[in-house]
Amino acid sequence: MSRSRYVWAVGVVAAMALASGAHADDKVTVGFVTHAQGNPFIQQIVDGAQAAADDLGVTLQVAQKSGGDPEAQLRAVQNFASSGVAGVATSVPGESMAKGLNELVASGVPIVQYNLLATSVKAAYVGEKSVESGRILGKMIVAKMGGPAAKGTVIIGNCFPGFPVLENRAKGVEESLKAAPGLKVLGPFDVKVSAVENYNRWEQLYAANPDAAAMIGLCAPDVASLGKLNAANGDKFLAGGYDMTEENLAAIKGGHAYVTLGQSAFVQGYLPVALLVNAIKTKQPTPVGFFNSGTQIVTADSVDMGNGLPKITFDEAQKLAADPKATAAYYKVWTKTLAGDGLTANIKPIAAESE
Amino acid sequence: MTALPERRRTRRLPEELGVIVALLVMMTVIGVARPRFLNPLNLLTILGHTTFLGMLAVGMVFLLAIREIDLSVGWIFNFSAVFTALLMVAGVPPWVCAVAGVGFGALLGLVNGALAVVLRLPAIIVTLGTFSMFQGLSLVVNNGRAVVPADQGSSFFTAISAKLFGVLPVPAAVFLVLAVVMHLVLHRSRFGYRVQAVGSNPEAAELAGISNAAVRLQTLVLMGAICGLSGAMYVGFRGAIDPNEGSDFVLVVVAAVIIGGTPLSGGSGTVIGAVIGTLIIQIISSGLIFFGIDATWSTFVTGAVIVLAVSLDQAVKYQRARRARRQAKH
Repeated sequence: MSRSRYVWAVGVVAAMALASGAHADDKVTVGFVTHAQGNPFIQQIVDGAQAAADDLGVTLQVAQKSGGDPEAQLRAVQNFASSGVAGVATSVPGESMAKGLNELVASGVPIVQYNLLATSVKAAYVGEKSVESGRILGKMIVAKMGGPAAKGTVIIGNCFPGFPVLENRAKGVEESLKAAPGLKVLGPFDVKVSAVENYNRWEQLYAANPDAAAMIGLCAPDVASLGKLNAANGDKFLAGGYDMTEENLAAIKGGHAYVTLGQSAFVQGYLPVALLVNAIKTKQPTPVGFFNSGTQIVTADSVDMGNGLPKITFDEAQKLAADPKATAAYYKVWTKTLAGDGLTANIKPIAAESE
Repeated sequence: MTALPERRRTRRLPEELGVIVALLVMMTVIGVARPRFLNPLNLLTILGHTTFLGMLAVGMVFLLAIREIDLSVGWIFNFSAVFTALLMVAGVPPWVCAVAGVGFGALLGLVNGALAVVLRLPAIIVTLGTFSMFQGLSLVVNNGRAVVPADQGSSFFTAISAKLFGVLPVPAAVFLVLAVVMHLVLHRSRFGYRVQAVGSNPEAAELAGISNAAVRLQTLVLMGAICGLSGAMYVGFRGAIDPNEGSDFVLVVVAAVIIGGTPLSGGSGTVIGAVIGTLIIQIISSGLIFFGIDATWSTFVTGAVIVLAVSLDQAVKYQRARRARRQAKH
């Protein structure tokens, strides 16, 4: 065989192998599109979605787009629709996705938004109450610093300026910090989303403000970065932020960070798939409204998992963060409440998300 | 007497044959396994997906042809779109805004070009800086939020969102027309010949009376104007521009141009190849979903299929070169 024919043959065989290796079965398939890749928090959402798919007997197909690029994410949703999936859940990192998503809704494709939303999309949204969670975080920081008499510099970091949910969190934090007029608030600064860049940015912010009394992040990598920074500098500032990833919980356990707020990653994955399956069964679009995934509050001393879930210790919370199967088993109490009308019983207007 | 016509026939085969073959092989493989993929509506949707990045790839061909790379294309796209959308929010007629957006993109390209020429720096270094400058200025003017023109009832939005013959999105049609025009500009116009001459041998071009500085400046302005066109059309098509849109464009654009067969060494370029390169990237993305490939594997598979496509292209080129050598001996 000549060299060129050999190359051709290898190419075609490889492509055919790719084709034949593809997954295909008779189960209903739903698509799930994320705005980040290799992110522990997003993986927890995907684990929740997979648990729902297992419980409800559907196949889950996941597409992950890095960088929060709305155009790339919309293309993935459209590709899912073209491939014949029965419905798609997607985070919506930009308003420019709204028109395309509404076209899909109008064409009969069930759509659910989760974690990040565009308010003009005519579909259900599953996520936290973003401004309110910011208020909770701000209140906890102020209380720990001494209440209304608190003094000092507080630095706020936002890993993705422009994401409405993150801007809302910042708004909530700033509102609560105003309760202590002696606090000097700096930021929000762009602290980037990749773990390496995130740490570097916080390190630079601390170098520029060595007297900072508290540093607050709005994204998943922040608490871990702030914990490392605090540990390296003698735990001189109060650190707080978001999400119950293993790294964040480790920072709290080590005493290098004070608080992290969870936004119920499992619920943000499970509920969209449950809503899609319901829409597929009833042949109706998903209801336009807000489904609050709940806010979880975790310090070294207390763990509130929200959603009426059983009390657990910090160590148990740490174990759950690392074990998707154990998490799915723990949430059974909550998933049972979704039976019958329970799924749509707590729907609120979309505007409630930012109240 | 018989060798000459044979050689001519060989030369008529398009340079892009390799990538065309790679594209067809990929479509066939996906289509055989998933017939729904070959649904004409799906293929037109994929063509629609290539539009905004594809336009940038067309401009990038000219830059690679003069041995330059513009890293700021994604943010020129974004800033032009933000500029266009903000003018619309301010009440300026949308068609005027769109034209202004193209002009604004050209202006940003002029900034890149002027800096590169005056400072005598490669565009890749200048645009490393303007990448962040344009991003930062865009964030300043949009306040870190999406810009959504309130009144989208104008004929601009209707026209850009329409489908020709009920199937072909207008931006995709504009993209194809742009590609044909730019192909002719590169291969049939004085400017195109100058671009290839400067990229091929800058010193010889200078001695032949072609100003390298002028060609570099014009090419960067052209790139900016194309980014502006893409950005203005994006606002019309999507009805909004987000603060981070365009952040990841540059790698995909350069990859598409290189997959299409434009060499990094300059001196030549293929607009048609860039269009096909963009299509290949979109088809990989679509194929991953049609095959249901797990998200954790998709990044690896994307890279592997790109390597496979480039290998096919190289195999075809090798075969053609060998045949040409054989014919030359005879």
